Amino acid sequence: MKTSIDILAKAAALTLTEGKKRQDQSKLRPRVHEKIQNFFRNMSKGVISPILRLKINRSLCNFKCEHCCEEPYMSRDLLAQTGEIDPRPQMTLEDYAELSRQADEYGIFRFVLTGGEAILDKNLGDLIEALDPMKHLIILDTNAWFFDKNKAQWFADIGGYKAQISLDSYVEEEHDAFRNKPGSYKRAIKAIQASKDAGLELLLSTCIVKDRVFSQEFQDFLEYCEAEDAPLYVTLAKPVGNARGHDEWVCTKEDVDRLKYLEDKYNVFTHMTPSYGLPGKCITVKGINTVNHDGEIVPCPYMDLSIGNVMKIPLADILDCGLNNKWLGPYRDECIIGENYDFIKFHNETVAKHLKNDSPLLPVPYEKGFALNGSID
Amino acid sequence: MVRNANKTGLFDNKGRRKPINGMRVYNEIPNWYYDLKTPEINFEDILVRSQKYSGVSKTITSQAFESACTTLKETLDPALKGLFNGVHIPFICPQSVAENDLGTELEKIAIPSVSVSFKSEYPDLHFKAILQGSSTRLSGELSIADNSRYDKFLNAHSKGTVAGWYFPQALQEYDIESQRKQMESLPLQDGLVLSGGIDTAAALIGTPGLLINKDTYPPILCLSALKHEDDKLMLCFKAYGHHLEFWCMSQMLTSEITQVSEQWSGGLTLFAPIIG
Repeated sequence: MKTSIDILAKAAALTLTEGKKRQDQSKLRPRVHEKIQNFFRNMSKGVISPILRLKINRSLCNFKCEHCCEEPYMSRDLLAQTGEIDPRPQMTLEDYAELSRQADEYGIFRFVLTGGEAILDKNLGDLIEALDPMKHLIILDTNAWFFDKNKAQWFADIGGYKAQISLDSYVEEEHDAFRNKPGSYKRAIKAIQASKDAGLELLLSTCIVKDRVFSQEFQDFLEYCEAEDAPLYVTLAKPVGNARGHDEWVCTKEDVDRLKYLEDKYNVFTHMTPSYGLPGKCITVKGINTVNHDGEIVPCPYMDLSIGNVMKIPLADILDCGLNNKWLGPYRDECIIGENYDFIKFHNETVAKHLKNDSPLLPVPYEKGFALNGSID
Repeated sequence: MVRNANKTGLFDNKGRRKPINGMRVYNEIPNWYYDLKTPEINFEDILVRSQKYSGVSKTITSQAFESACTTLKETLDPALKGLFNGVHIPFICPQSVAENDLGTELEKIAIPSVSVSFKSEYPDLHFKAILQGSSTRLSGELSIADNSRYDKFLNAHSKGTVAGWYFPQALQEYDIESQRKQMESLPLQDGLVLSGGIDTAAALIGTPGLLINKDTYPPILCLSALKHEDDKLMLCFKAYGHHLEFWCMSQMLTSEITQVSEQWSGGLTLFAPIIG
């Protein structure tokens, strides 16, 4: 029986909006456009172009959220636990400029600035300059407390590309309670308009715990995002950081399947959503890597295990090492730190052992973490 | 041709071929994180769908279909019977219609038929077919992989209706090359081939919910009997949530080495002609 279906080819996952944005980059940031085109041409050869997520300024933050995975990296936590802040050498502007150079050479075109709250960094402007916003898309994670109209315009003016505003519930009281910061909801809502007015790309990000995707609140949130024409980026709560031990927050496949269903109805997505012509899958190393303030590279925002330090080893070698790791490189659909209990057990036991026997400082060095679970060949 | 001296115990208690020397697998013994549930086998339902969506002759009865499959099972080489320890899906597919090109048949007939069957059963879910790389079509891009024995299936398919069993997890965690290479050491059973596009599509047309799992992630169904002109690409059916997708995508882990994934699974197909 002969029927028909469109075979999507080449830029398969590109929506009209994505295609338009890419076209815009060919004029605004030709080098970024060139790297995106190269990535598309070569992805079938095994070429990757992951986001580099920079945790800056010792992860300083003005919030203390219930689900935060970053608290163990913050000076306030280390001071409370050990009486001193992180003594390891911290990345300097020169180090970030060198990272930008290596990333550009590798074909990477996206940096996300985060913390903590990146906007608290007094040197943020210098850092963005060092990263070179003409060669990379600079994306800012923010809880929006200080991201008002002036700050949004400032970020746009120095070359910022996108603001990612965290909103953890569409119910004001729930968001403020989760963030332990009354008034934070209202500021986040204001920041949405401020970002638009400044001409920034925008997305909202929210963290889901088990069953939230089935709630009326989440449905209302999706409707709000549609009305605001703001994409909603969803992260799964992970049993790490402040959430360690909160297994009841961990999403099930049912939650994730519901999200994948909703993706066809709303502009909502996760890090595992098919994009850039790639199928939906776990993106450790391949799609995102976090650079800690001391240069340790962690292959996922929610892991505490390093694959190498970029102040000691070339970026390309670290990524290669990560790709060859048995947990991190090979194709798999699920979010391993959010759903796979075998990995969560390995991760959390390794972290606990490190914190107990070796050091209060995270992430766990490569040799004592990922190196132990073997490589592909 | 390499032969296993001991033909017993070729498959484990889940119907997966035990890796022999030289095979590149993710785990010697899988932990089955990615798994399928054996669906309730209803020959009547499978036949009706296959008649409706892929044009199997209406003169074939479910009794004839079931009988053909049962005979295949009963006459199987004892060394291969372990295949039935795993998930096994009956399928039936019609004689090929004037399409001499593998890619064209897949693109114009088999994949659209999977889509229609899936969408008819699950109207709220999507079916997508996506090509990665520089190619914009499958026509003229596919050939039969060495060792796969798939030529035998296509030969039978060109002459008439074919029925049989699809074993989707027989080669789970094997890399694509090893899925092909292990065929050298399988007993030469009539009608046993490495799974490719037409047979796997037929299985999904008859059993469109095969990859819908509520609790566990299903494996990715590799169509390794088919080889793309660009040897960096592989073909597969995969779930995305409860959605169903066909992908022609990279099998490269890095620019130097190919994937060996816990989730990727090669299949074996056992078939025989069936008289309509």
